Amino acid sequence: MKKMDQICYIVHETDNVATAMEDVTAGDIKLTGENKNRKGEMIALQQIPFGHKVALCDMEEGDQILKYGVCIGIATKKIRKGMHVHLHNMKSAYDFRSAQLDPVTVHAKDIEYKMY
Amino acid sequence: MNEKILCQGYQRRDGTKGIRNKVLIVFTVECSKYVCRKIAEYFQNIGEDVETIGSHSCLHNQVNIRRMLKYCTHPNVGGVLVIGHGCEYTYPSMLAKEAERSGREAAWFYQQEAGGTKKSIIRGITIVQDMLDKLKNVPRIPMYIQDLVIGGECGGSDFTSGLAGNALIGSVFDYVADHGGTAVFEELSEGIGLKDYLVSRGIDDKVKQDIANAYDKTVDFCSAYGQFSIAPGNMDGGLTTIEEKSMGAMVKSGRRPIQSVLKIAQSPTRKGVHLLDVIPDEKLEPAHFIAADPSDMLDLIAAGCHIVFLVTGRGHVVGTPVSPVVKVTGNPRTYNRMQDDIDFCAAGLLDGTESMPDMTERMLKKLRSICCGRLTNAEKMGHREGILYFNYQDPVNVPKCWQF
Repeated sequence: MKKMDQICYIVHETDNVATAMEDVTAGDIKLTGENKNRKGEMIALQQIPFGHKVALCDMEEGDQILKYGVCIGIATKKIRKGMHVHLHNMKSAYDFRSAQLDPVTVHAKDIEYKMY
Repeated sequence: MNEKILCQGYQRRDGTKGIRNKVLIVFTVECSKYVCRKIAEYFQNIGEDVETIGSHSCLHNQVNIRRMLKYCTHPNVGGVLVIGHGCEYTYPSMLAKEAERSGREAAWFYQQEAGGTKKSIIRGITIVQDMLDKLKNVPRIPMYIQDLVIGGECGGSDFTSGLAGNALIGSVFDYVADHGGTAVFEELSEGIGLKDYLVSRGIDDKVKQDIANAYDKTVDFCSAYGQFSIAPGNMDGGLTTIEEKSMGAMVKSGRRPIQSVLKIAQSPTRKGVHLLDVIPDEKLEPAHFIAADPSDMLDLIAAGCHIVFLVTGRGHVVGTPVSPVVKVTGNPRTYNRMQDDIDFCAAGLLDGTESMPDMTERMLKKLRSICCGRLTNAEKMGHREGILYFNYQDPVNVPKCWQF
């Protein structure tokens, strides 16, 4: 059986990330939405969870991450085309606290659950 | 003019029209809540539309008083019974007086004077039964979109909220504004990063300045406490930053000009889209006022909303005691998991099976049926959340930025 296309959705034509419409595994993905500036197909380098973002081009540390055509944050390290873009490699330009959350569990590291 | 009737509304003596005909039982302090709940439950069990709301603290708070006055005179409310404990600051008599002045059935008493729990419950049941009998005679009158005030809120957002659910509510906001109705949205704390965009939507220079002031105050507030309106659940759902969540959230206000910035418990003075500012004007610990979606929806309702749309991605269950809540999701997994709670699935926008105009029409049909009395899932489930937190705002002066 042919594997179904893995769809990632681009909200605005200037965006440099797309949103995974399902749990995407590393491999071929199909770009939908406002995709006229991009080739329709590309390769995801790693797993992209449902609803998370994939990089549409290579980015340097400090580059703006664009979604909805607006800057939704800043890259905190080099990001290669096809990589998962989330808390581990980007941060808000406003919210200094969220960048310190655990990237996997997204739990706050500055609050202890500890009984005295 | 070819006007389409929305529903047969309940005509209030102050000229407003409601889509529900409720009796509201108001407690003026936590101590009288139990009695109020018991009276309401008696009637809820026999299918009557009787709800409770109130203030939990012994102390009083100006914003909370203004909110309660708005609930006591809300278009969806026909009768008000206010029960006090007997030693709190909030006066049940003053709330009942304003309700009566607005033409509502109104009564009040102190449970201390009534003789305690049992006697208060019996007395309350007698009073509410009498009110319900009188409310059966409230005249019905055609209600149009122009008479309607809708609210938009989001809660438990994920990546679908901005792409589907909020986009749909934005389209409903546009429809209501274009047809002479009124729509209110809030969540400036989810507008962080979008100052230029929001200010550009102000109808005139004054409103633009009000939006800029309210925005700056919100950034100051969030920065001061390091608490931005994005939570672990949002991030799990694929949203990484507040800016990303913001754009998704503001989509729900549609594209029409913003007519004014309202403070809590202020009503819009003209038709169209309005931005509600719920951020305190004075320095205040966030835990004292930032509540949760039900409390935010109650602030929209204090602005006069007959009905509130709650867009969720991760899933939601809540309702309010005063106005129906229509829950919408764009996430098909969430809809399938929580169909008992969620009223509307907007996932068709994402997979391309339904166009925006078609889906907007389907939602307007839903809106009409709810205005005509059809219960929302929150109403069916008996959801009536909402705690009124203290807040400090000056409704006259525009907000100033905080000084640190």
